[in-house]
Amino acid sequence: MSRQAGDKEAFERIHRQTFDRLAAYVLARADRDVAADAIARTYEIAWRRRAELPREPIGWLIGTARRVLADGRRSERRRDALVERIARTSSTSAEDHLGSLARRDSAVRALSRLTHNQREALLLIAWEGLSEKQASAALGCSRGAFALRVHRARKAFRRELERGETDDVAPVRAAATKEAT
Amino acid sequence: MTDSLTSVLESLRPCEAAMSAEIFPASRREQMLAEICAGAEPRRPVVRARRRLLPAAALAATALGLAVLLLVAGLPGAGTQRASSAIAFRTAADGDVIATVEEPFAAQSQLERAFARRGFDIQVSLVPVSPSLVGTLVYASEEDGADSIQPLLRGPCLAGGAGCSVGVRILSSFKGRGYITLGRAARADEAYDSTASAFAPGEPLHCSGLLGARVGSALPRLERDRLRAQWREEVSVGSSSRSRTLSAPPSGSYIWEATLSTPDKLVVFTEPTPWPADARHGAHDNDGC
Repeated sequence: MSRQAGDKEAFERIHRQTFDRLAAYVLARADRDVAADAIARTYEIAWRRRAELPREPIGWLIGTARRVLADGRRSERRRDALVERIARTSSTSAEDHLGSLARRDSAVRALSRLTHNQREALLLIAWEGLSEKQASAALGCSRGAFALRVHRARKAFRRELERGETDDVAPVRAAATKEAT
Repeated sequence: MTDSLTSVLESLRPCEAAMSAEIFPASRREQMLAEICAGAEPRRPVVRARRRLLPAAALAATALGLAVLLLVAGLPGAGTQRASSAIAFRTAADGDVIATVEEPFAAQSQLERAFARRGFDIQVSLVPVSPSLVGTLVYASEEDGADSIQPLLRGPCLAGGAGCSVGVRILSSFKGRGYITLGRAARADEAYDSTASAFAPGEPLHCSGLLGARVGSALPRLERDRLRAQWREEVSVGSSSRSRTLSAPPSGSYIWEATLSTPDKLVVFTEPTPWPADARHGAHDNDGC
């Protein structure tokens, strides 16, 4: 087998193994058309740089997709696109879980008060299911720095949930305060 | 992360995130893949040797900046000069302002005055950071949360927060008040607000040879340096992996990463498998040793 053919086969395997996770990351943060472009662009970059891909490439791919999306948003001059998207879309089970729209809105508000980096750290774990190692690769920081960031983000999120307390929020707060620091 | 907060966050996940199979059916994926593979040729790998020199070069530049600052500070009438040059401003073609902190050790008030002269209401604060991050930008934000102050990232970097940035891009849409946080040296008992890899140039384990070493062989060195370690291990769960904190050092495991949380407290990340010293592994440095 030629080197080119071997490269292609290996890349196809990576594409197959990572597509759903990468697509989930992008679709959670962008509309379908933008997501399709961002996914294509991410794999295009990965193909060009396939010699540099780590053995476990999902963190690298998500980090690349993150930058691709950020580049697009920079030109749009939009406010925090992720929070806007969460605010207007949610899974059906969200309202089942939180019990009411008011509680969901409180959680969105709490999330919106975190810094961009804190939100990303929390969501890479909660939404994408990345390990600390994968997530630190996605954010381009050391694992230690990522662990510290997640720790502080959790505390900040819990604090913001408490701050935004209303009668409707109480069950959410109760759930959140169970968490060990 | 424990289940309670995670479930709150999971409930906020937009439903389309779970619809990749419907939105991108197999035929569309194959088409996307074919277009990509028919496209550009692979780029040559980045020359790591150059990248490895960057943190050291940045530290040297910072040290030089400090030396110049101290020299200038001793001259009559130097105060005005220092204040005016603490931050360099440049306007980009798209109207954004690029602000580079020229003197990271300038007083907080001098930095704020430099922004004010340019017409920006930006407050500067200083937080304790691990040694290699002293003088770098840790965090930038603004009152309305619009993300219109963005760190200028300078290539691959071993830090958290805003990376190894020493400047910000202030978008033309910025208005109101902004906040910038710079790293300062920590007191002996103080927790760091931002940390780099303990193996990065300027950090205590740089050139220690402990990156990739077995935990058991690292213990004497940590004891000698009076570093208290918290041990964490990455364990595989199916195709994914999770971290857990250990109550005792896993002597047979290997050190994959470490970072200081205070000047004498180290968080060490271990794995049962050897650290791939030849891997393009990202932010690890025993380089230049």
